[in-house]
Amino acid sequence: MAIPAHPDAMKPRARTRTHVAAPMMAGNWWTPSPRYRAYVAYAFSGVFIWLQTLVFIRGLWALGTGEVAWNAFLEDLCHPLYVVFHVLSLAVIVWYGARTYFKLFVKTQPPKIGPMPRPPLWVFPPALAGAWLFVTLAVVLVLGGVWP
Amino acid sequence: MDAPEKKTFVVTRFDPDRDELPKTQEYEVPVQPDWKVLDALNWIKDEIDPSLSHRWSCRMAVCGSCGMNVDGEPKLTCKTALSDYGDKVTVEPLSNFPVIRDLVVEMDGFMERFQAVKPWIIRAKELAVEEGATRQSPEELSHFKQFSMCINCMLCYAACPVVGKEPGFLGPAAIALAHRYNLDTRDQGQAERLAALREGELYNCSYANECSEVCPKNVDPSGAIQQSKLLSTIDWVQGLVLPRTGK
Amino acid sequence: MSHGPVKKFLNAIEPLIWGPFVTGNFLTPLFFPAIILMLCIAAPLGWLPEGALSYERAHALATNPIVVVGILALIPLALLAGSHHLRFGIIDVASAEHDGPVALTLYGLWQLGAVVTAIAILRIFFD
Repeated sequence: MAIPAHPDAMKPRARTRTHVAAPMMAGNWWTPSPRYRAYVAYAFSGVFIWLQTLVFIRGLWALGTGEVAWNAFLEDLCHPLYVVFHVLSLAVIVWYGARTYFKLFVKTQPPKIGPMPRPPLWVFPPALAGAWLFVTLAVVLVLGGVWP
Repeated sequence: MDAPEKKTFVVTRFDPDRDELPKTQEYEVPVQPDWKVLDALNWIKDEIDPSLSHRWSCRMAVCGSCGMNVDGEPKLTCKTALSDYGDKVTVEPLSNFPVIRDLVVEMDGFMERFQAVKPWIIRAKELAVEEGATRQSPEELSHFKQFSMCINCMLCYAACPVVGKEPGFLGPAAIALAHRYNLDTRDQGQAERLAALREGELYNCSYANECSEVCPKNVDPSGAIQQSKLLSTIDWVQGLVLPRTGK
Repeated sequence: MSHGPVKKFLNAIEPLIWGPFVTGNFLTPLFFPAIILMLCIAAPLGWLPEGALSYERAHALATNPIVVVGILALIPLALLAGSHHLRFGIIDVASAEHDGPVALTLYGLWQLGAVVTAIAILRIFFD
C-alpha cells in the first residue's frame, strides 16, 4: 500500500551513512484516510471554480456583444445539463466555502499583526457566517430584480 | 485472568548490511488489555527477536522518540493503545524519512531544518545587565506558548504530503518553531527568520492540516505555518516598498 | 536542494501569488453561491420575476462602477484560487516533478482569464 516518496525526501545535506532505505509515503491520495481524501477533494474543487468562472466570463462576453447574445446565453443556461452542473457546482462551492471559513480561516490569524491585536477567535465563525448571509441577501435582491 | 489475546504484528525489517530493500516480518504476540504498541514491540525484542531495532525512551509521550507508522498513520507507539486495533497491526518506520534500520529513521535532515530557522532569540541590540531582566507578561507568553510545546517527535513530517514530495520544504515542526520565536516579544529577528522561511519554501504548504491532526501535543503546526505565510507576505511587501538597510 | 530556473522563479514570487490567492479563496465562496443560485439555477427554472435579468437591467448593473470593480476583483481572484488549488492538488495526487510547467500553465491561464474579463467589461461599456 505504501508508495515511494521523493527519493530525496528528508535527505540530510551532509549524509555520512552509505546505505539507507528509500523514504516511503503512506499511500496514494485515496488510500490514507477519509480526512486526507477530503483534503484532496478540496484541492480539486478548483476545477469547479474554474468551470463556474468560465460560465460567468461567457455571460459577461455575451452582455458586451448585445441583447441577442445575452438572451441566447440565458437560453443556454436552461439546458438540463447546465442546470445539473450548476446544482453540483453550487454544492461543491458551498462545501468548499464552509471548509475554508470554518475550518481553515481561523487558524491563519496570528495573535497580532504588528501592533494590531487579533479579536478573540470565537468572533470569526459568526462574523464570517454573518458576512456570507449579508452578501448572499444583497446578491439575491440585486439579481432578483428587487433592488435597485 | 483471561488468556491474553493474540495479535499479529507485521513489522518492517531492514538490515543495511544484508538487505537491498526493506521487507516485512510477522510476529504473533500475546497482548495484555492495557498494552500499547510499544509494549508489543518490546515483547517481540525480548522474547522472539532481539535483532529488532526501534527507538523509544520515556514511555509517556514526552520524549518524542517512539514515532512510527501504525496501520499507515504516524503515532507515538508508547501512547497508542492496542485495544483500538484489530487482530493484525502493521508497524512501519515513519513515512517520508530514509530508513537506517528496521523502524529507525534517519533524523539528520530533520535536525538540519531546525538549524535553518534560527531557533533562538535574536536581538538587534543586547540589553545591558544594568537595565535589568526582560519582562514578558503572561498574555505575551500565551501568544507563543502553544508553539513551544513541540517534542520533536517528527509525526508531522511523516503525515505531511508536501514533505514527501518537495525535498526543499522545511516542514511543520521547523516552521512552528520559527513562529514560536517570531511571536516572542523578546525577539527582534522576525525579518531574518521570515526570510529563512521563504528560503525554505514556506508557501509550498498546501494546508492539508495533516500535521496538526497527528500532533500529540496540540502544537497546531498548521496554524503556525498559515500565520507565518501571512506575516511573511506582509514582511516581503514591506521589504519591497521600504528596502531594509543593514541587518 | 537544487531547483531548475522555473521553480526558483516560482519560489521567489510566491508571496506575490499567495496574498491574492487567499483573497480569492475568501471572496469566491462569499459571492459565488448567491450568483450561481440566482443566475444559473433560479433564472433557468423560471423562479425570477419578469425582467430581473433582462438585457437592459443586466447591462445597467454591469456598467455600475461598484459592480465593475467587484467583477474585476472577483473573477480574476476566483481563477487564481482555482489555479493555485489545482497546482497543489496535482502535486498531491502525482508529484512535484513537473510543478514548474504545471504552475506556469495554471497561472498563465489565470492571467489570460483576467485579461479576457477586463476586455469583456470594456466591451460592455463600448457596446
